[in-house]
Amino acid sequence: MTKKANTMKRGIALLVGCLVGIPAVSQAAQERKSPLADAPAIRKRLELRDKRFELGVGLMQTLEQDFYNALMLNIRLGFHITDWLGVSVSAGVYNLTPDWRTSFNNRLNAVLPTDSTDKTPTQANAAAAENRIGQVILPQIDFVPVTGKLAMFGRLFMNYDFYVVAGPGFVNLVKKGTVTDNSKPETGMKLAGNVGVGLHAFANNYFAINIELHDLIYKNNAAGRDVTGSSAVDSHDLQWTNNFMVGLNFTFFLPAEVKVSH
Amino acid sequence: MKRLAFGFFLLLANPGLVAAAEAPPSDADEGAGEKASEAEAPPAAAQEGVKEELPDLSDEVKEATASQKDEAAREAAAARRSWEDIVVVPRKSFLKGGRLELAPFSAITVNDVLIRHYSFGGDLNYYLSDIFSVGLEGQYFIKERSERESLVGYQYNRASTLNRFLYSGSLVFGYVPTYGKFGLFNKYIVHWDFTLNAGIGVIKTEIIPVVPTDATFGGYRVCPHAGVSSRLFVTDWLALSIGLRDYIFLDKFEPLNRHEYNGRVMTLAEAKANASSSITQNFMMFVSAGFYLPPSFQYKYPR
Repeated sequence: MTKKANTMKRGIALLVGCLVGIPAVSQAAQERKSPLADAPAIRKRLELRDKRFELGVGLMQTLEQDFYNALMLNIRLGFHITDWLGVSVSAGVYNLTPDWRTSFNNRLNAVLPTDSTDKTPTQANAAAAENRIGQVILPQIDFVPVTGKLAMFGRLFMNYDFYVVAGPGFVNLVKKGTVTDNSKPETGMKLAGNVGVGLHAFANNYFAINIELHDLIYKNNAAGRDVTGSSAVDSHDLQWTNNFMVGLNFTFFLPAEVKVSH
Repeated sequence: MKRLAFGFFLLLANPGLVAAAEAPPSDADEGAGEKASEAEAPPAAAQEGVKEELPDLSDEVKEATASQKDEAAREAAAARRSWEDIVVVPRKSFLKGGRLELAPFSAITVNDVLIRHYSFGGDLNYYLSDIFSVGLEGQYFIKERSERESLVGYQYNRASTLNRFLYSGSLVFGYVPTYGKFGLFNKYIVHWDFTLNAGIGVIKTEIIPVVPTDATFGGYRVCPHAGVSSRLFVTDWLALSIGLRDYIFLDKFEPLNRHEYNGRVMTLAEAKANASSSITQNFMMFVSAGFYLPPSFQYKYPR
């Protein structure tokens, strides 16, 4: 047997071995299944909302009001039907700052006269005609598509969720003072549309910090003055307005025990 | 005869591989091992007869068999595993250190009742590490007067003193104290981080004259800012951000007595000299898309 023949035999042997081995490897590859194929995104997940009540108290504040902002005592009550769906009521029950003028209103008030002989309203009449938010009641549906955990400074780990809310809203507009000109403050309970977003950051399994941002959409004439040019103040002067509110609550989830997903 | 023996070995080895792919690894190992032993040890009679003529293929055969066995064992193990066996602590899905971020953005003023500015611009950030960045920011503003501003004249018999912003540029430093991930419908994992940034730059502002025919004037103002943002990582080279930035600067406004200055209208120079100063806050909400270069990254550590 020559060296050349030996080399050829070795080559043929390896070639045949590989060809015969390929079907076996291919079959195994076909049967291979990703171990993550049937896995949920998060396993052993704390179901921090499922079938739990939520009780919270905190503060809610208006943003970007034309004339008066409001800082309100807020209560949040809710029940989470599943881990991703719940119903709740967020209510700003008491306005702690009924005289909190916006910076625009401060500047405007500073250039208004105290006694007027032309169409310029006096400071007192302007202020009396401008309404402000007294209370808000927001029954809503909470939809929680996002849950996760975060690390702060690489040391502090927290579970959190992010949710959207929608529902009707009831806004009580109030006035302060009495007008003596032809203005007419817009007051009373208003039906509003309520959409918003929120999050819970869980310090432990039953206590969370809750932040909510709402947009309350309703018709208002915040100045209480003519808008359309008719000289009279009536329903035609009402305009759709966006009223943003942000709330910070400290909430407790009950029962304190929490389920863990598979 | 020798070729026949070798072919027989391969035929025996092949079902062994198939069995290894289907069977539990212990069985597969044993089965393949037994069959390989059989192949490695042909009958004694035949072995004596062919010893001189048959080249020694045992090394190649062993290597091929061992390789195929290992591959088959891995395949079999992978097929058998499920997600319950995975204990990996996942690493950060996105690394920024040593990369350049080019992020065009759009923003809107959220804190002014009377005038709203839209801006378009970009951030160019270089990440010194995964949490520290330094960069440049530039933006161009477009103004829009609000409905409330249009009503002030009619309802209160007063005109608003307003300034508009033209453009700005800043040096920006970023720090990422927080990162995380969330499950979307418990089906998708999305990674994000939270960034604090601060910077200093200049902004060009200009008055909007109460009387439209009056000349306007403006200037460059030193403008520090601070902000927060959150970034969602979409691919290895793309991230979407939303953020808030608060620009604070000392701005100059048109004098209120421009048309009642010693019984006449001020000249432009006089108006500039008598402009009132006031601290202005321009609070803006941003959305941006960050493109990273190089478009991919490598981990230094296996996990």
